[in-house]
Amino acid sequence: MHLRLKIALTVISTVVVLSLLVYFRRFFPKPVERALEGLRDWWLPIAKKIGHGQTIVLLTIVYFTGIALTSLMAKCMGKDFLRLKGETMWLQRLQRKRKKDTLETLERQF
Amino acid sequence: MNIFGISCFYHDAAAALCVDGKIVAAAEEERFTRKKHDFSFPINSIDFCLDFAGLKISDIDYIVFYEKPFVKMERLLFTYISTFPRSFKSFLAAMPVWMKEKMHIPSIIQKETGFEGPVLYTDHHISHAASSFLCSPFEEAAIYTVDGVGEWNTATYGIGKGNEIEILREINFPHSLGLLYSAFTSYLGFRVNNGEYKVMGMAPYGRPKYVDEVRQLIDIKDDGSFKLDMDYFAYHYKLENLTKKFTDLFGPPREPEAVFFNYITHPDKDHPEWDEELARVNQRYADIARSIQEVTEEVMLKTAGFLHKETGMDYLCMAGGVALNCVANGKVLRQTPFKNIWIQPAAGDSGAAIGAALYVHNTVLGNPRTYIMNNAYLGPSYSEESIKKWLDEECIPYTEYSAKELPAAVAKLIADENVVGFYHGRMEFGPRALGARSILADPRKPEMKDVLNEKIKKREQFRPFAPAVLVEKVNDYFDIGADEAPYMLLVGEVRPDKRKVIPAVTHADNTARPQTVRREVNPRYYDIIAEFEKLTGVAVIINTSFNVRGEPIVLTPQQAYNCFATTDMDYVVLERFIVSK
Repeated sequence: MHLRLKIALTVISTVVVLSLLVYFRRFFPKPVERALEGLRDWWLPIAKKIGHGQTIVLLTIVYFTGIALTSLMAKCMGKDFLRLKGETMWLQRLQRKRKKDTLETLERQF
Repeated sequence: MNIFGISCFYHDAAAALCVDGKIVAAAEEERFTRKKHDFSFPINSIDFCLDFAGLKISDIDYIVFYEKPFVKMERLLFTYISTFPRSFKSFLAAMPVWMKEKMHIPSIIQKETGFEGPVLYTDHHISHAASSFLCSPFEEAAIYTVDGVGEWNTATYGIGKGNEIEILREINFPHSLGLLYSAFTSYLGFRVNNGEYKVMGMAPYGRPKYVDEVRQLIDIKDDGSFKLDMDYFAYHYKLENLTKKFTDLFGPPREPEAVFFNYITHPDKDHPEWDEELARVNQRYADIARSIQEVTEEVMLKTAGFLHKETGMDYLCMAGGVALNCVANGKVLRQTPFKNIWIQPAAGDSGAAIGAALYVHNTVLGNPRTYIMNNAYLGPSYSEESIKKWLDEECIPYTEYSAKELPAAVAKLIADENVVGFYHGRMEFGPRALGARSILADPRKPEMKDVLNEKIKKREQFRPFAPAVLVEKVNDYFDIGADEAPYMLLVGEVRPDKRKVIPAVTHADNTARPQTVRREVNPRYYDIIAEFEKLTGVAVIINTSFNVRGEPIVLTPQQAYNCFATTDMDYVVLERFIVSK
């Protein structure tokens, strides 16, 4: 097996085993449980930082693909979602919003 | 039928409990968590409401959230699309919160409260409209809601008849009167969603010299509709409010917390830090504050005038954060043909919790209206026994009075120029202290304003104090255009012959924001003012909120005592017990 693959598998399996140990820590004797809790407390802030970094990377990808493409298409089609160029006027309320609310319509978040 | 209305995750989180069509309890989360304008899930408020009504969460039929989260999300996405790539930072800041919290309202409600029943979602401006019309005494009325932004709407108007509400027209984001005012709030060195009333307080120290410049930012039509020139604003794609074009037009923004004095606050130039250049700069800021205030009033007056013509209604109901602009409200009442107006005392987002609950009970389920909100005392109270026990345990010396003797004793303290913390009964719902968690003082001495500002409230010198007046005497002292203003939501002129009688509550432009007090609503508070009148011939006292700068109004007797102990307040009245320094 290639050395790099071996290292990667070792790291991954170690992380998996440690995660399982931390998750099931309550089933171990008290000293082991405390040690595993210490490990969890040490790891959590690092995990949060990694999570934050991943979120930024993912959102950046979404922004510069999904939002960018939609924005480009909207511009090509001359869409003005924010009515930056429209007339100054009171807008007629949308027909769907003017319908009488029922419990069913209120159960929707949209 | 038990319905909870809740508002949270933007600002001013709150919960309100509606039992058989009546709001029995409501509270803002900030009072419990002690974080001003706290927006977190209002679990403490919910717990209080349940406890007060003697209910369990399983007794609740519906929980109603005050807006539709996915429609708000839609607005955010369309805004990001429209402002790409400038909105990148705003997108990165907003999306994690949405993914973590705002997209999971039902599960958060279930997790926090254990509620298993249906969660409903009303439209943000419907919640505002309902908080006003369904709480008002009017059988039918025009409705005007105006705030920063809800889902898409920033202003709406409609009509209310019986238990029905119909919104007819709307103005949508980013064109927002509330956000325009907030942009100037930030420009003038105050915190957005917190310092808007400071702009209103600063305005009388200026002249409307920049109205034409403000008009460059906003196009206003005769029907009150408006559109902003978004080249001047950045709030739709950035975390800041203003663009360079804005500061090019109005000059550099005022430093936060900068000292404020000008030729009107100190005509004798006797401020300890007096500086000609600074006074001149401050004058410009005050002129800008006055100008944005005038333009805001113009929009509201034109809208109200148009609404009267369009709907033919005699009465107007208002809500939304901008409806807390009591100077504009007073003008709407006096300068439009409406016979009377009713404004939700918690006109901001906290009040929308009340509206959401009542909307479902009255409009959606079709139950007739049985509730009129004739007071705002909807929060927690603490028994005399518990207060006495606590004072004894802490070895705090106090004097106990009978309920009959207390008003005269408190009035005497006030008449002797003492500053008195007054803690009594159920806490107010909404941003104003209305005689349950108030600091009371004598309005006859002009120095009292400075004493309160510097020694107790520790707030900006230019901000005015409000008077509380016996309801039957309001027209003797003030011209507010109404016989009653129980929630301090109408500013009017102090009558010329009274300006020197109550100088501490007469603002720089000879106006005041009175609270009228009815005996049926708060007998102890009323009796104190009546006793004060017997002693001094003046039926007015100063009423300011029981807190110090930057903190929410006190909730518990302990917090009231701590506020008293850490300031230069002279006495604190905890129900029937008076504690002195």
